[in-house]
This record gives sequence, C-alpha cells and structure tokens, in this order.
Amino acid sequence: MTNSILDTLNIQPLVAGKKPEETTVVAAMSGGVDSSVVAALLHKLGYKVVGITLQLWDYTPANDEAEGETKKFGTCCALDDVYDARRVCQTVGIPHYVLNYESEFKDKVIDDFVDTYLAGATPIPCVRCNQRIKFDSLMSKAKQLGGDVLVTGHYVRKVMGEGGKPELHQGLSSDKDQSYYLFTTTPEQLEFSAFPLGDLTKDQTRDLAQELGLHVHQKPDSQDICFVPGGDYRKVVTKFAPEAEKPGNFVDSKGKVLGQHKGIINFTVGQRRGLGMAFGEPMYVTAIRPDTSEVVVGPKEELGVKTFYVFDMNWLRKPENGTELTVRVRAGHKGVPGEVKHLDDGRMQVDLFDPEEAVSPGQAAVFYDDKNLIGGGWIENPHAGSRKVKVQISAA
Amino acid sequence: MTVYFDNNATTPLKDGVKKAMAEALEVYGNPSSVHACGREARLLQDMARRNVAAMFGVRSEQVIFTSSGTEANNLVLRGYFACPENLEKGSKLVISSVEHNCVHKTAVDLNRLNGVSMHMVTVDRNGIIDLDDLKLTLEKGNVGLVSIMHGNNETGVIQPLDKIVALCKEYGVRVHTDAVQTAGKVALSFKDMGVDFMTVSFHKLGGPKGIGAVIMKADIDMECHTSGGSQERNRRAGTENIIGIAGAGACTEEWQVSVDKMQNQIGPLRNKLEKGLKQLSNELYIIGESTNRVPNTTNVIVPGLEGETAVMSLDMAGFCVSTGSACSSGRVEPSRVILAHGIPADEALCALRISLGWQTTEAEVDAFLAAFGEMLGRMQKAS
Repeated sequence: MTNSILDTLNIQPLVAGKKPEETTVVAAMSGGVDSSVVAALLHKLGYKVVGITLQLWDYTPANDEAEGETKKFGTCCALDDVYDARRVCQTVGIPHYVLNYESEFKDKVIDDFVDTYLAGATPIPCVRCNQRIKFDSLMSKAKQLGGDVLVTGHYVRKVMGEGGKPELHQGLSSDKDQSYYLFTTTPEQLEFSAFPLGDLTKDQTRDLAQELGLHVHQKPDSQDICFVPGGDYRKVVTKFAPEAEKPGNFVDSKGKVLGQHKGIINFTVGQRRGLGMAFGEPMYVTAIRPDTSEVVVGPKEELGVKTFYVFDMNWLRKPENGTELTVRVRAGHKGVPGEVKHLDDGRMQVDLFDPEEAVSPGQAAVFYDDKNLIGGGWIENPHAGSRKVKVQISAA
Repeated sequence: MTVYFDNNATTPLKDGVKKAMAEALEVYGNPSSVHACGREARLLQDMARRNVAAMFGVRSEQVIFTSSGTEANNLVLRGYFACPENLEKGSKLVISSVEHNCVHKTAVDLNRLNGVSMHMVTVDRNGIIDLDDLKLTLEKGNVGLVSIMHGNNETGVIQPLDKIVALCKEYGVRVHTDAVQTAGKVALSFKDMGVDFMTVSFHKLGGPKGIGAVIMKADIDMECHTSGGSQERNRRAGTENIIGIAGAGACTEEWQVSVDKMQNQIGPLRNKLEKGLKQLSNELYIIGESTNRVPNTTNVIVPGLEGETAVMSLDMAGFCVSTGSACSSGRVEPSRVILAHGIPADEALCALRISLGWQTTEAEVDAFLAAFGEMLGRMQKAS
C-alpha cells in the first residue's frame, strides 16, 4: 500500500514514557468524523481505547416544537450521533459507553446561555460545555475509569514547552483551528489531554476516516449549537425566560429614542442586519442595556472599541502587565495586537492598538503569543448594570 | 479474559442445550401439522414440555410457552383480568413495590385501559414485603389477583411466598408469582408453593433467549392476548418456537444438578465474595444481606461510587456486572426497586449487582475481588 496518510503521520506517544499498549485512552466521541478518527487511529496505533459519548440534550418534544412537529423518539439527530459513535466503536472493535449528562448540561451550559442573553450579552455555549462538561465531569470520569489520557477531535496542538510544561497551540490548519473554544483549559486539564488531529487538515481527517473504514467519513460537519437545531436560539431562550422578549427602545449614543425593538434577545453587539427598523443610514448595535431593555445603535464609527474588560480569567501562562499579545475577540477572528493589564479585582483591562469592531460582551477574549494560547476570559458588558453581577456569578 | 458475573441478566447456554437446539434445527415441521414432519416437531415439543413440567412438578398441560418472561407476566395479568368472570370477583391487582417493570408497567396499563385498580405493597429495608399491608388490602376486598415476585432480579431477595399464599387463600384470592430469578437456583414445586400462576424464563437457567413459560393451574379462566390459532391450549396463539422450546426442555432436564450446584457451590462462593467485598471498604453494604436470597446474587452499595462508573470500570478490567435491571439508554436514574427499600437516591445510584452463575469458579471470585479493590483505590485517588 502506498500513499497512506497513516505513514505520513508522526504521532508522539500520548503519555511520555508509556507504551501505547499500556496506555488507556478515553476518547470523547460526538459521533462526528473528527472524534471518530481519533478513536480509530489511536486503536490502530496500539492504544487501549474506550469511546465515551455524552448524551447532553433530550431532543424530545419541547425542542421539536420549534419545527412545528413532534418527532418520535429514535429519529432525532442526537440519538443518530450516539448511534454513529457506537457504530464506529463496533467497526474498530473497542468498548463504547454512553453517559447521560442532560441535567448537568442544563444547569451548567443552557442556563448560562439563557442568563448571558438576559444580561445583554452573546454566549458561547460550546466553551461552557468544554469547560464544565468535557474537561470537568468527563475528565474526572476518565480518571476514575483508570484512563491515562482524555483525547478529543479538536484541531489544536499540545506542544511541550520549556520545562516540560505543555502548551496549547493553534491547529496547523488555520481555517480549522479550534483553540479559541478551549481557552478555559487549565494546566492540569491540558496535562491529561491530547489532541491528535492538531497537525491535520479536515480533508486529511476525512481521508483517514475512509482509510480506516469509518462510515462517518462523509458525514457533514455540525453547523448548529447542539441544543439549538436550525439555529433559532431565540426559541430556546424564550422557552426558559419569556421575559427575554420584552420590547424596548432603540436609542442612539446620546440617549435619544429612535424606535422600538422586540426584545434585547434579538441583538448582538456589532450586528447590522435584521434590526427590524430602517434608520436612514447603516446602523450597528453598539451596546445592549438589559436593565432598561435599551439597544444602543450608531454608525460604524461608534462601533470601534479599543479598551474593554474581561473577567473570569484562565491562564496557561500568566502575562506581565503591558505584555503585547494577539487578541481574538470571537471564534472567527484572526486576532489583533493589544496589551493587557491585570486589575485588582481579578479582571483584565485589554487595550487594543487599533479600534476593533464588534467586541461583543459574552464572547471570549483569547490571548495568544504567536500560535501559543496563553489564556483568556469573558468580555464584560459595560452596560449590564445589576445584571453584571449575575453573569459573573454564573460564570464562576 | 472475560469474567461473566451478570447471570441475572442472562446466562450462557449449557452444552446440552446447544446440542438439543442444534438437533432441533433439522426439524422443520409445524407441530400443528398432521403429517410426519408435523408429528416430528410435535414430538420434540411434547418431550420438552414434559421436562419443563417435571422440573416444577406439574402436568404438561400446565405449561404454556411464551416468547419471554415479560410476555408470560403480561399474559397472566392481562389474560386474567380480560375474563369478565375474573374481573367480577375483584377488580384490584395487588403487586409489590419491587416488581420487575414487566409487572409494574402492565399493572399501570391495566389501570389505564381496563380500569383495574392497583395497590402496591411496600417492602422494608431488606426488601421483604409488608405482610400486614397485604392482609389489610385483602381485608378491604375487591382484590382480583395478587402478583408478587418470588426472587428479586436486582437484589436476589426471596419473598416469604408461603405466608403470602396462606393469606391470599384465607381471602380466596388467586396468586401469581414471577419466579424468573428463582427457577433453576432454588428447587421450585408449583404444588408446594400453592400459587395459581408462575412465570419462568429459560435463558436465566442456561437456556436460550426468546422462550419463557407460564406455569398455571389448568382450570383457571384466562383469555389469550393474541388472536390466531389454538396453540398452547388456546392460551397463546402463534406457531411455536420449536428450537427455543427444545432448548427450554434441555436446560430443565437436569435441573436438580443445577439447583444443587447453586446451593452447594455457588452459594458459598457468593458468601466468600461478600466477605471479601466488606473487607475492602467500611462504608460498603449489601442489600438484604441477612435475608433469604437466591444463592448467586449480591447487590452491593459503595456510597460515593456510582454503579454506572463501577460497571464501566470493571468492564474495562474484564468483568461483566450491572447496575441492576437492564437500564435504559444510559440514563442515570436510581433504580425504582432500590429506592423502594428506603435507600436514599444518592446511595441507590451506587447499587451494583453481581450475579454469579453455575460456571463461576473460585479463581474468578478472587480475581474480581482484586479488581474491585484496585477500582476502589483508583476512585479514592481520582476524587
């Protein structure tokens, strides 16, 4: 056989000093192609692999109301994903377990998602899920089971840094890099993790899936947030918090009322489309004030932000005040240069060198030294008022 | 190496069963047919039925083959109350709070569909039913049928059936018992037990899956719950599962040997296992420990160690055990049966069922104890 991708891979031992056949690997398997390849590949390399799939969200009636129909149990996508993961494990010949974390997911991810919207901010539930479910509950389960390492299908790289301390680097294929979503990873969690796909492109992963005989090799990437099928997050939020649809005013930066909107939940800082009102010139959401249900709009010039505040920091390497870093303020953001300053209350002040549009509260500011993710935190809503406290508590 | 300690879920086929079933593969006739091929199948079926009847000390016509213990329980409960004359005598069904789902849910269904009211007799901390509650319920009248399991599938606890039957006789009420977990583990004489119906399932005693039976007094009115042919003396329509029935016949053939082995060899191994477990942890306890139980079953609780985690962990070490009744899609909910013992929910989540089989060896028990100890050590470190 020639040209096998397997021959071109250079995978370091997952646990230093331990042979593959002595290493128990717990693979977090979503049923998608990435984590499936991780499990199959490591098995092929001789590791003792067990696959674990988390059932996080019950796709029965409540959610399907969104589509105006009640789907029968057994036809929903979440269960299809569990089935795909199981089938991959059967194909490969490794044990597979399903863990039901629905109630934890509700408490730690969905409630936070709703609270964040209510606080006039835009949440990233996938980060919360990584932080509070995968790298917390699942990781401790993996340890209890005698696992040596938890592996996932994220496109990030764990690189040995100075003094043998692992670092978290962006995936080599920059368009697939998922490091932003893992900024809450602590040094201890990183120590116990591995990300075998960090050097690959998505195409290479799919080719590998085919070569390894996995039926998911052409399965499309998931686009939606798993508990928001179809992407209509408003339905989810208003189901738990009907007050999110309380109408309010559009105001300009001077406080002048420009019109009415149908609830702050419909807006994200930086948004231009879908404001539901014509202002005569292109207007952007520049701030959201949950206490008064006001949405502040303004021309593009008012959107730029140079200084903002970040809370609930996580550091893999804590920078000195005034360190110049690359700052990413949303998942698709390439990153811009800026400086950071630690405040006495644990928050950070971020000073960008140039104004950046769409610095949205609720999103993460993630700091890099070149490709090396050194830490990050959550962007504060400067207008959250009494809600601010709530967001910070729920984020703690 | 895989060590199988989940024999209450199902058991491996006995060698004699495999042989009998392999031979039955050659017999293709329909036992209802008149011709030679039909007669050949009928012969096989009759011989098997005689074996099953002999095991429980009944006549052949008292054995009704079904597809499973679940179907047998459904047949008794639904079939009994489907007869207007039975319903007239009493429209209340009395069960216990530790019944298998196939009795519990059927009782709920009967209540919803047929207006049969249900009373659930509670159990004490050891899993034994409250006989005073049963007596009081019988006294109030209108009880049509009492269905109380013999041995519990999750804990192995055996109910005092003699007392239950005596009480029911006093009030002229018929009794059904789900004996799926006791058949093959303790000697069962249908006549001595004094019940009117009994359910067994052959894959729990070295037979194949897909075959169970109702053992019943022949003269009781009971409706067939499937419409069709007149198989099984009009109690259960549908062409018989001849291969399964052959397996059932074979697994009951030497029942006395199996029961003796359970009592004399497996019982002591189970006791050794429990003694060993208790030495591993001070907080650990065994449900119904001092109660009469089937000889192969241990339900152990290590507070703080979730049963689900233990099952996975032991599986990875090569040991098959379970959290109790075969659970639904990995949902972590405490067992209804364990909760019924008055055990708090957080501890009920930690219930782990270990069920030995006739093939279990002492070396396996020793290896299991070692793996269990290792697991406990790891949990302590991880927490």
